[in-house]
Amino acid sequence: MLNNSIFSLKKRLLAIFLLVSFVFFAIIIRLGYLQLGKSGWLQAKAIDQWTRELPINALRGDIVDVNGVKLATNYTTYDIYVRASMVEDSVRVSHELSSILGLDYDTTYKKVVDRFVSESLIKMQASKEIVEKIKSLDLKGVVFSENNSRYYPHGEMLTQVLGFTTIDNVGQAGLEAYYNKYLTGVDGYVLEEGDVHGVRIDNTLRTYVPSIAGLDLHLTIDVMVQGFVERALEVLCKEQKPAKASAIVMNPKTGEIVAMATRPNFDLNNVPRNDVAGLMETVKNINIVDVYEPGSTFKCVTMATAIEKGYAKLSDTFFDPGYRMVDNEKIKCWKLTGHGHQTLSEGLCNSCNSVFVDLALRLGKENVYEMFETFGIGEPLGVDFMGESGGIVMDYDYSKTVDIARMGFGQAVAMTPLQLITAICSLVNGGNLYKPYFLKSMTDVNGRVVYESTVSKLNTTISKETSDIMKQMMIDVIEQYSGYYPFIPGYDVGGKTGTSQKYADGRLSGEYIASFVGVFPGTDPDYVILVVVDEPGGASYYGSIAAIPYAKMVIENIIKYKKYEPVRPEELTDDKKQIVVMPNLVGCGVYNAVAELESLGLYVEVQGDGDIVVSQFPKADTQISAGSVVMIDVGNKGY
Amino acid sequence: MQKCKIRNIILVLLVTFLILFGLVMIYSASSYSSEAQFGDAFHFVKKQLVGVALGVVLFVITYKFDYHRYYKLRYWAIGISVILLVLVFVPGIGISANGARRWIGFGGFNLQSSEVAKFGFVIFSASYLSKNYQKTKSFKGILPILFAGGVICLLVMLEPNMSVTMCIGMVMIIMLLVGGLSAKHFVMLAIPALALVVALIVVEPYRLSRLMAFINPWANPKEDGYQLIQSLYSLGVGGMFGVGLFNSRQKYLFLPFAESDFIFAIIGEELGFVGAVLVLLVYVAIIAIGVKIALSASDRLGTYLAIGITAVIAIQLLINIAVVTGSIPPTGIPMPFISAGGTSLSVFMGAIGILCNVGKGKGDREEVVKRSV
Repeated sequence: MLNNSIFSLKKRLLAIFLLVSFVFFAIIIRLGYLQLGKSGWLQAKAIDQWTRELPINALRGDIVDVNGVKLATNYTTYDIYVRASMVEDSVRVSHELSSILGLDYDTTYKKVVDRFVSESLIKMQASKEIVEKIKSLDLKGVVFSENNSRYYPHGEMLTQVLGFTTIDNVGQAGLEAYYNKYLTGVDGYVLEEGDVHGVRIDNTLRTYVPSIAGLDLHLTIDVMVQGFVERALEVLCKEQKPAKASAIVMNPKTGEIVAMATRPNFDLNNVPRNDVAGLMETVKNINIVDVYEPGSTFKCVTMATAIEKGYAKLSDTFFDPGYRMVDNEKIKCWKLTGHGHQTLSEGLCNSCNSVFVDLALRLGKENVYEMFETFGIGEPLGVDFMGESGGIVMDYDYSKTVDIARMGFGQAVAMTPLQLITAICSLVNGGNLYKPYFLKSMTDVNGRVVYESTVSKLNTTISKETSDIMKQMMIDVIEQYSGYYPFIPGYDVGGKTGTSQKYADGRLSGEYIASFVGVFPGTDPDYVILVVVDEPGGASYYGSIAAIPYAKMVIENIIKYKKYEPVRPEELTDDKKQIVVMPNLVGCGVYNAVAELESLGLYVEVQGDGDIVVSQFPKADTQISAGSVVMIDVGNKGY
Repeated sequence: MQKCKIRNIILVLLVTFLILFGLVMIYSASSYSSEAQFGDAFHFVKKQLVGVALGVVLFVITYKFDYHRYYKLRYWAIGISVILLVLVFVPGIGISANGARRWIGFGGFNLQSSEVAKFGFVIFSASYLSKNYQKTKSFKGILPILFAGGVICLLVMLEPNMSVTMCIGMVMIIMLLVGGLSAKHFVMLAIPALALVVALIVVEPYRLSRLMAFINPWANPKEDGYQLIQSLYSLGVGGMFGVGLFNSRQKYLFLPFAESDFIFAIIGEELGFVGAVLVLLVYVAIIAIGVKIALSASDRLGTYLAIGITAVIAIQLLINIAVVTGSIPPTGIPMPFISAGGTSLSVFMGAIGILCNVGKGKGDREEVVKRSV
């Protein structure tokens, strides 16, 4: 048999054939196991890899002002891609794209002919105009994807109020953050089948769940008034170079915040995200978040409370020798020579500290603390903004008489600018402390109003009668400040200045915060304006008058914008504004200097401690109009 | 005589069926990817048609060419194979792709040398064995085959191309076995061969990682395990009856080499288990006919040629479907007649021509037995 090799060949061939058949059979069993046994499991995993859920981002709601002017909205940008497999004329496509988008031709060409990727990104965030231009060329293989980015048409206004969003349109600061939940809509999605690169396959099922756009916020802000305020602060910063400046305009009849601005600021369309520490500081809305000692502007509140509670009458007189002794501590009036005999109203006009020490002490500790509570100081007011501060009121048990005395003229107590202006509003609106607010209403994408805010009264602070007295007193303050000439010819304006010393590490730092609160129209106010200047002047120090001209600018613009009729039209034609020359007063005695300036029709602010003028503003020989405010620094230097 | 003719006609019909079916499947598997990559959905189909045209010419030539004359050409066959394999390494002629040098190109025409070398080796070893089948009991007697096969395996391994090396190695063993290799020599050869395979795997880290990926593809689904997982997804999605012709989802760039090495996965996806098994049955029929032709060939040369050619088809098919089903570690080898690949197709068609020529053989088995004795 061994010799019969052909038998052996056949046998061996059959053996090999059997072996091959066995392997073959085994593989078929394996195939059956995969295709029948594990089919469901494998299929589930495969479907998972084919389908993609593409989010459809809901359009974020707009933020508009009281007149519907857009403050924050969305704009569409496009990412431009090339699908190499669809390109017909790669040279033309590369040429057009590189020239329109300003890209390097060779780099673009490489992407246009790269068939190993399904899509190559050519340009991100291209504008609609550029995309329209490219679309008009009808280039085969060029595709676009749409993105919505946040856009602020008035980017440098309302920086801290509006805030901004992340790249993914999530509110990060300001009202964008506070109302993020409402501004953000509900994202939709598309379920579709794509290739390995996510490119959709034609004729496959597509599930489409549309997105729901976010709500539009209608603010109390009036962008016109806001513009006046922003411009005034711009001028202020240019002239005075303060560390910070801020302003609020409020409607005293409702608590609506009509304008709010802070310097320094930045363009919301170009958030300086590289400097995180700097951004954290700049984005802070100091009007709401930071506290300061209001100083003399707060005297109005003390005055009103004293009158309301019967601790002071208009007929009361006060004597100011330039200081008051309280608990053996000497509390100086800013005018070291003293204001002498004054009526209650003159006390406010002169901003005489001694008068307010008297009023605070007459009220007593309990009434002073009750006053804070009534006027909403010490607790957040509940404004619709994140991080509102409640102010700092000394613990009742720890405050001494001398502290109470200081509180009378706005020291030893700290509050936010918003708290101060809200308190002042209640003084001139008949005694209603209204909760300040930004949001007037919210509408959905169809314009239907889904939420409307109402005026919210927190407290009654004073009676209507006391309020009328306060309005008149504040008009008087401005009249006296203006001297012989009207503050704004033809109109009544009320107001009060304030200066407060800044503390650093518990000590006086030598720096000041100057502020001014204005009321317009003085007899029936529609607007209350607060301007706060942190460290005014730089080289030329203006003192408490630092803020006035800018508040005045805002009021003058409001008059034009809202077409207020003058209450004394005759003043408008009274155009006898006299020009005087500033004399050189350095070295003069303070009494002579004041007398000389007043004889020229100028209003004098005296700063410092001493009998001799050491510096003046403006400098000698400057031409200024009569009725202007000038400033002299006094001291004992060299004598 | 009549029986032989019918057998040949059936063989040609079966092969033709596979080629046409292959064209349809190549179109289905590659239309999307080639549209994306080349801007032409028919890119691979057109290349395959060139292969078909060339294959028809080769088939006609080899069908007409009397196989007895291969004996004289045996050194040419092995010589040309070696030259083609060496040319792969000649700069300017050899073409490098995916880290391997497997093709040579001249005048826009590319050729995969190892596809030719497989059959070159079959012609050489069949010719040798037809004269020296009585010497195969001695080691010296099998040495020429070992040497020729060894050189070809070595050159293919240097490309590197593990799967074709294994394929040629297995064909060599089958040739030796049917040529009368003794059990002692078989063991003597098998042990070092296995050791060599293990060594080659250990030496090249990528082979080891592929091996690991085979054992648990889900350990690294994005990297080494990716291809196998995609292949298994295709088969799983297909289920019993498939998703229907042209309806594969895996061909949307998920499954790499869907039109070539992994075309069986697309067949399984679109036509299901039933379709895949039917296709495999066509191969079984072809292999069975090949064995039948071998057994009824008029002389030993015809027998050995038929066995060699059938072995190449069977082994390559088995390796391919074993890879696609994740039964052995992934390695790139096309499915005969179906996978995209011009050289492979035309050379296989030429080989079928040889098989048919042998199949024309006048004698039945009795005659062969008589002759050999």
